[in-house]
Amino acid sequence: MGKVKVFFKLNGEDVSSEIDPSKRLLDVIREDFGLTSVKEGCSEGECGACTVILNGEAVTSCCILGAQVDGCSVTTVEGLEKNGELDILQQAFLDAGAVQCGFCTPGMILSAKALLMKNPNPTLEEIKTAISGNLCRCTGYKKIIDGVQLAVERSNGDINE
Amino acid sequence: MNDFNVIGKSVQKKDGIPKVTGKALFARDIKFESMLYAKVLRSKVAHALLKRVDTSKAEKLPGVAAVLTSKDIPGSNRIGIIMKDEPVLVDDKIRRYGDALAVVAAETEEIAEEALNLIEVEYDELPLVTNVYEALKEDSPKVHGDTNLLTTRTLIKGDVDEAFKKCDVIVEKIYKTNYYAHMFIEPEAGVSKYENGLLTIWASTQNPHFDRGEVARVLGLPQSKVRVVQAETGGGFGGKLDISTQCFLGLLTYHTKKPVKLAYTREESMEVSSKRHPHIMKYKTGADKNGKLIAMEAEFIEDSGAYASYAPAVITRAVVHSTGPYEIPNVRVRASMVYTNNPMAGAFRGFGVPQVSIAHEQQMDMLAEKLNMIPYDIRIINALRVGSYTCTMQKLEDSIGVVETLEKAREKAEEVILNSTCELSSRKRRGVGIGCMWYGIGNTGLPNPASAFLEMHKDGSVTVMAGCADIGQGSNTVMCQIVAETLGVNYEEVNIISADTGSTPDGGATSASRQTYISGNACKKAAEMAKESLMQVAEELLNSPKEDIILKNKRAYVKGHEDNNVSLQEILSRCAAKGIMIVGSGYFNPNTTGLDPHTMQGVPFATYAFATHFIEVEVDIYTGEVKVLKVIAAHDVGKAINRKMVEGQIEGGCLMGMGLGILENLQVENAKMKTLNFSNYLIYTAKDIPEIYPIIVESEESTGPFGAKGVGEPALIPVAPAILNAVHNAIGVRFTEIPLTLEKVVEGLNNKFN
Repeated sequence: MGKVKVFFKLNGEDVSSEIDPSKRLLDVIREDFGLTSVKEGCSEGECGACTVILNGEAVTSCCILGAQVDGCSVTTVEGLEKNGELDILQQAFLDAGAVQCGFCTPGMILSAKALLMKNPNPTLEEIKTAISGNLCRCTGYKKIIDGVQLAVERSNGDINE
Repeated sequence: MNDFNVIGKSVQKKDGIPKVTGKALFARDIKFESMLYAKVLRSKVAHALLKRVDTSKAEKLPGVAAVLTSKDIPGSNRIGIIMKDEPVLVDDKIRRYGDALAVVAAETEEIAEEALNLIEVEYDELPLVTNVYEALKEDSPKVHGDTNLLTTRTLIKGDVDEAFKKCDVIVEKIYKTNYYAHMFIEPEAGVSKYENGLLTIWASTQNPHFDRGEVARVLGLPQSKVRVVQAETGGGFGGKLDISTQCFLGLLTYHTKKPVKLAYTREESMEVSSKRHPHIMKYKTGADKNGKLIAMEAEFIEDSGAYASYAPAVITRAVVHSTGPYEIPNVRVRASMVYTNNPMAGAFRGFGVPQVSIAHEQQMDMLAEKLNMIPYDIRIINALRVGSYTCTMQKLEDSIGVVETLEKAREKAEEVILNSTCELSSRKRRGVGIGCMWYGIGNTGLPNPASAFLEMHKDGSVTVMAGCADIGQGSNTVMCQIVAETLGVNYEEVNIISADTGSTPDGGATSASRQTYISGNACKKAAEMAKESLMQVAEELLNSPKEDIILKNKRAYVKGHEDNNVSLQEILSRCAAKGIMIVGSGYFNPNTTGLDPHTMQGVPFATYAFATHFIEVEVDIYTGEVKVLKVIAAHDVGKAINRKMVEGQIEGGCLMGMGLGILENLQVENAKMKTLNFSNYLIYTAKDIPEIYPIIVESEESTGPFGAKGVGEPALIPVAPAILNAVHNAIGVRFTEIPLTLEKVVEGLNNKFN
């Protein structure tokens, strides 16, 4: 099969890649761009470890073809730090003790980020719903939710994109 | 009381920043030039004699670098944690679905996958044995050798037969537990590389030193020629103690001399990683009219599946914990571990103790009911205390906090559950239940040391080298806290290299909730050795005996004369001038005895953790749904080195324990697993969490580092039994099998009312 060329924004930068049309976005990001924060845990959109933000929505990149993101904007956790400073969510996850094994963490942060970008003052239920597609086997989610709430508190409604 | 600088503080995890920024490298994130990708050909039958594996067509596929079978193994083709009964690649007989028959390395994963399809396999199928009772019959198909009885245990304390005659009340019940899957979010993966005569493997693992030994034996190499490095590991829970990718990678790099990566799919991980042992447990417990326990008799049959993995340890631990945290003067337990063609069982958070707790905690409630007592009182009356004798006749001397966990949990329950009232719809019933547990820290009745090295650098910062694998629970952080406190330096200036057989001494397995206690002690000893050198010089500089000198906040000062002090930097300068190096090494082995082979009497553990959970549930009597509303979880951890991380263990254990009790329903049919991914093996999500109230009880253990014991497995154990007791409290039905699926609850209600 021939390759297709896609142009998209990855973590704020314009990029392009010649890709096999059957290649998943997950593999494009990990292999072609070397961004390994995007994890593969189940390959069927159940665990959420491969979550990225696509045009403002949290999506599982194992269920999207690379060719579909032509013209889109994609954010991974590597794109959250600004000038060497952690994003408010990253810092809040650290402070809340939300990280154990860390395999779900990037996806979890991105699902929370996508929520806060649309809704800077979410309720507890809205937070739970937003991260309910991201499975974590270590923490029992409590400190992850604490982390998101801490970020909300600290941000005062001011969330960077 | 104490004025610790670092101990007990919720300092930031050492692995925190790499993990929130996505920079932490898990095995599948590691990449090398001209790396090959591996795939494993796995059996699609569960029991068969292997006649032929023809790899010739696969070898010819362009892009394929190697196709290996059992014939290509230069050393031993038998591995296993305790018994070497598992082939790396099958050479004689297939014993379960997913047994490895051949392994391929190719330029891409796709080519490797294609090559698998070109391998021709011939075998003669054999009859299956999937039921433990069938397996024990004389004419059953045999999985290994001429018996399916893998091992047995007998525990005898006192005279059970006589004691039952004296009981005023006796309860008897049979309990059953299912398979469970660890479902760590990262499936197993590894990468290997050969350079300058050294084979290095980076793997997702809980025990790199064990892995190194197995790889070296399989390849016929000395252990010094193999290095295993624990890559960042995405959860373990016991499931990454067995060998997964390591030996395949070793073999492929041995033959190709090229770097190789092998990453399991979720389905592959599910099919071949170990599962929790299904137990069938017959219990008989008797007490006098005051509720004092007099006798207990139990019989267990446990299914190990096709291989032994940790079976001999799980059966031992299940038996010695069979009474729960109560003193019973007369106990007899007989247990059998059985081979079948079912999925392999092994270590899973709790090692057989979650299973027996389902039984002993319901026995307690049933006795209380017969005696018209409340479940709390019968537990208080019988709980282990200082001076009690356990079922192995170990006299308990120190750090026995079970009563305190009961008291603290009850206090909280009165505040948040028992005094709350609410309007319920007619289809909802609420109930409260108690679950208690005890858990021996470290391996059962066996030596299980851990060791550590340490160096203080010229600027006062410290590097610790410890074999202990941090799989997310936070041992790297805990080790650094212990060292920082011991040496009086800042936590931030202590760095750790862990779980790398090339640079750290053996820390043993990250299992049995043992690393804080055992590796923690090893690190503390290493730090104390280094401190001794600092103190020699401080004595000189302060002109005082070292017994009077305190090392804290990077200064040494004389007790009571704080103005007489000297900075760590000055001490280090003097050390440098005198040619003294500040290094340390330490190892710690818990003080245990072997258990008597006929009665299992002895001292299996140096210390025990204890816990009590109060759980409130709501049962929907129309649908059978059991919802956990509140969990009060009081844990005696000895000393919390890092409070937030202890809470994290408790909260995570609570959710996993709810899964064990209610939701996780692994299905095996004719030895084949039906539930291979998160779509049909469900685990709880953020939407399902109850209110969790962790309570940390600190009954300090004199032999623990700063009094610490452990909490990893204890966090899970009391949850399911407390749920079962709460459900009984809510609807009056006693369930003896887990998980409590909707169907089971509805059936239980129907039986009660029809």
